[in-house]
Amino acid sequence: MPVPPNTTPATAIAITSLPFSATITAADFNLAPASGSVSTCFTPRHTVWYVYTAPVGSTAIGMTVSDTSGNAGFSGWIGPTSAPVQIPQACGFVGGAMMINTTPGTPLYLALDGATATVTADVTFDVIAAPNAPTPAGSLLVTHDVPGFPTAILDATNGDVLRILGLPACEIGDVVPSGVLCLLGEPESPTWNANLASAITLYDTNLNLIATNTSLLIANQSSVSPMRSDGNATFYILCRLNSPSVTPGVLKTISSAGAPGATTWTLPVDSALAVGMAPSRDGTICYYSQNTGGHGIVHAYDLIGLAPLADLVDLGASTTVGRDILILATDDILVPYNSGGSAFVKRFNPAGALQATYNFGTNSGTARYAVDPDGISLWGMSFPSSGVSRYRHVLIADGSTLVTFDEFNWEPGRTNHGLTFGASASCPLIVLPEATALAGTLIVTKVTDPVMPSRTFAFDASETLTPVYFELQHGDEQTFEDVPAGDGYSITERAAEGWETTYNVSNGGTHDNITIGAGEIVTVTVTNTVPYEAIVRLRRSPHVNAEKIRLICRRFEIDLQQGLGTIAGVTGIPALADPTIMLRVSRDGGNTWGDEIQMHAGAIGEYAARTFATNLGQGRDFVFEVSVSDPSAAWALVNAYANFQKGTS
Amino acid sequence: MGILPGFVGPASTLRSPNVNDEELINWMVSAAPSGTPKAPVWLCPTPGYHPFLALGQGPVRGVFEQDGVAFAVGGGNLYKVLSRQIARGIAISPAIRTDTRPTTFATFNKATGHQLIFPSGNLLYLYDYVSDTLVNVPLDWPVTMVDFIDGRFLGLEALTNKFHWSDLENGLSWPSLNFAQLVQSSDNIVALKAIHGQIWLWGTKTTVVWDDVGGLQVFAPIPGSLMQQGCAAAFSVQVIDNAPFWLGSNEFGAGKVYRGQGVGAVPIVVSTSAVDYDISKAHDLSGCVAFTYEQEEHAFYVLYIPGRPWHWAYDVTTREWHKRARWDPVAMQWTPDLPWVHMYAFGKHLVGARNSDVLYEMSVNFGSNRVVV
Repeated sequence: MPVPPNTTPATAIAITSLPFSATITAADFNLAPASGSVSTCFTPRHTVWYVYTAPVGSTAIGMTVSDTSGNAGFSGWIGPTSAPVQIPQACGFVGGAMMINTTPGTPLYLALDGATATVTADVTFDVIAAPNAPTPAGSLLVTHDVPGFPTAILDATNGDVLRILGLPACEIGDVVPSGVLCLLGEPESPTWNANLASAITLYDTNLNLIATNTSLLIANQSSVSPMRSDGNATFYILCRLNSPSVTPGVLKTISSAGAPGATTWTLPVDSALAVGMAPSRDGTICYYSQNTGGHGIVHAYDLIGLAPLADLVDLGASTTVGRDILILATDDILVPYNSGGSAFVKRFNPAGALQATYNFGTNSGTARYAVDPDGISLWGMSFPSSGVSRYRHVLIADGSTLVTFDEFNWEPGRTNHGLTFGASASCPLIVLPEATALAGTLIVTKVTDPVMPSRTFAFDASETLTPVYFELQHGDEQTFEDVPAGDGYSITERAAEGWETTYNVSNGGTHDNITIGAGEIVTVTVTNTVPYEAIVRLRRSPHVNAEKIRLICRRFEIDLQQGLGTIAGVTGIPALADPTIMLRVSRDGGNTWGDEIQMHAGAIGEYAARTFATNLGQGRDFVFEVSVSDPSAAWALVNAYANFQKGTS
Repeated sequence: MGILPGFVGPASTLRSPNVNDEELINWMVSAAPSGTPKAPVWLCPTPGYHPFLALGQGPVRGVFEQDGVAFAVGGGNLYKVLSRQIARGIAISPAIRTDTRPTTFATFNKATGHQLIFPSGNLLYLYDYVSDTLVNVPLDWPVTMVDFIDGRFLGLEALTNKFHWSDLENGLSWPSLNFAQLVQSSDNIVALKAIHGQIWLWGTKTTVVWDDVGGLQVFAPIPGSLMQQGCAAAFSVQVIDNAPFWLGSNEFGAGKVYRGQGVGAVPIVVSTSAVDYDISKAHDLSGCVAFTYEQEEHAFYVLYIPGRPWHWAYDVTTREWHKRARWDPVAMQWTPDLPWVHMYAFGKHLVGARNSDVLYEMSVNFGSNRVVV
């Protein structure tokens, strides 16, 4: 679709559905900066704005930008308001992509503008919905440390993105065999700040939040502190102090239920610079730091005897080590490091003797790894300063490579739209020990019109929901959490006499076949309305006779307030319509009655309407009966007139 | 074409429809007395009902408003009715013995007193505005009706010809000697109401008016006030247009609607032959309940008669009767109208449903009803 130039937040192009694709011409980008340009990365250029509002219940979206020449310079900004905050990773990405956490219902503004003096090629801009597929055990959780970016779960066989989550940014994390995930949150500030205390968040196997602890860590014991689980249900955090750097580190624990441990340990001074740490099963803790000579050293400390043990490994000079050193079941020690532009993991035995070296690629950067649940293989990632990240699955036994993929595909079959997850180089990979269920939330809300808080309404839910029976009053909610994604759910209100019931399912389904997506929050609003009840009004006239002489009624007419139409309210009767007035005529003194005859009082504005009936038969004793039920202000009856012709007998 | 004589007229269905079968349901005769109207009278729609709030317990047995504070008794609960359409229960409240009858209220809410009383199940209940507490006032006599006059609460003792009064401004204190017994007549008192500073006491056959005479005697009958017209239904007694109206009974019969003409003056019958004939079809007149209200130039006395398919409404202004009812389109028949008690509160006419816990707003601006089951 052609993109008009000179868009601003106020004239942002609305993205109404996903996927969305547009081509922005180089000529558009090369226009002079327009009002609304937000570029700060490069020389301000013309900016093209988009806005997308994610439906309630939706998750992250992805934005990919590609170009045909490979040198198109453009940058992007995203934000929740018309004045979006620039995200550094969105600035100057080339031929790449990014994912954005969306807040359902809140407009998200996307801005692209030229990032070089002259853009040389047209740019294709795609916005696509995030995947939300099942994630079996063994899937690879890729964390990130940039606020606003999502967390991804990858298919371990090919790197496809299976699911996108809105987990918070974190610098370090781990998982225990039960599946509980612990993330040490990145300090949430406009720029990363190691001196801020950060949150610890715990998630169950379905990646639902279990607990948040914001008090265990204090300022200067930041998110860069090493953290590992002990293989049971406890997470250890070595609070590496950033300032002053010579202060000993303090080791703290938190249970998988979120309870801080009662014991803390103060480790030797060299722990103050530890960047990696791993508890072992024999009451010791290993941590990695560089000594004054620049050597990377893996130290050990006796948590029971409260004394340092002999150093385990000396990696030598000029080695840069990642944070996640690891103790295997054999007590072998895994240490990632970077050397010569390649990323490696070295395995040492408990005595510190090198057992194996695993090469994770020639891209420069530090290897990250995660041990498979069975402990026989490891994942690694080498993160480049430019180019693509590389994931590699390696057998510990012989170093053979099981699978390698570079980045991953946003959608199967769209290999040209790769996707990165922000600056995740320093973040761990986590192999999920259990499949995460795809679950959503179903909320039933009750509304009565008019508001009648004291009325209770009974509901039946489909058998797969718990509870299957519940009651609500106006303003109440019934929430079903962790509802497996799928369809066929139903919420049905039991018949409530005197109330009309309507259902509104937020994702467009019907109340008897509700579909819930993973992570989706579906709200069923059940509204009970007191129906309008017609007021029937009736007037029966006195007898009309002429001493038993036969009368022929030629015409009967009513003088009333014509031309006011109907009042909205009663079902089936439109507003301002022509109100109906019914006439029955008895020609025998009210004993028997003829069929009803419809007369009309005039729709809105028909002030000159005449309400009459003609040729009403003959008899010796007439009685007229008029009745109305349409809601109208017309029913001010002034008089009635009749035209009788007198017979001869 | 000539005017159809009498087309604008009251409900006047007689025993013989061949004489008169005029019907008027949910329309009322309205007069156009001033200026030069097209017609001197016309048919005006009666009001509709929209829910104001639901109390939680029904039926709505009584409603009361004074000085911006409104109450309702629903089933066995007293509620404060708030203008924002919320009914709030009383913070501390005993279980109220309920009955199927409406109730009456009396209040004195000043620096002292700050009390509201009402009877229910022959017991007396007192609400304290300050402590937001409802208590059962222990009495050794069954009370059926209350009122307030000259600083004293009044209580009618059931099935006797006695009434009682409290200490000054204190509904908690009812000295055992603070009672009076009718001496001019021997019938039981059915209803009691303070009107124009005097106490009207309706018996089953007679009516007498008492006055505050002060001293130890406190109250005494007004000489010459005895009227040979009693009351058939306690809760049919209502005041409108500065006069009491009630469903009468006397030693000769029952079932006419009367208007009091003053102390000792012979009450006049305001019901018509059609009304009297319809009332005669009711099996038990004691359950009749009336409410009164004013709307624009009209003043109404509306009578609910158990067993009849409509309310009868008397327009004191035009002196014409009409019926109020709901049409059941399934059963194809009329059913009685919703309300049986009324209060004017928050600038609205609020009526209590006789068969549910709902308080409705009543307005001629509603072209249709919204009825909560």
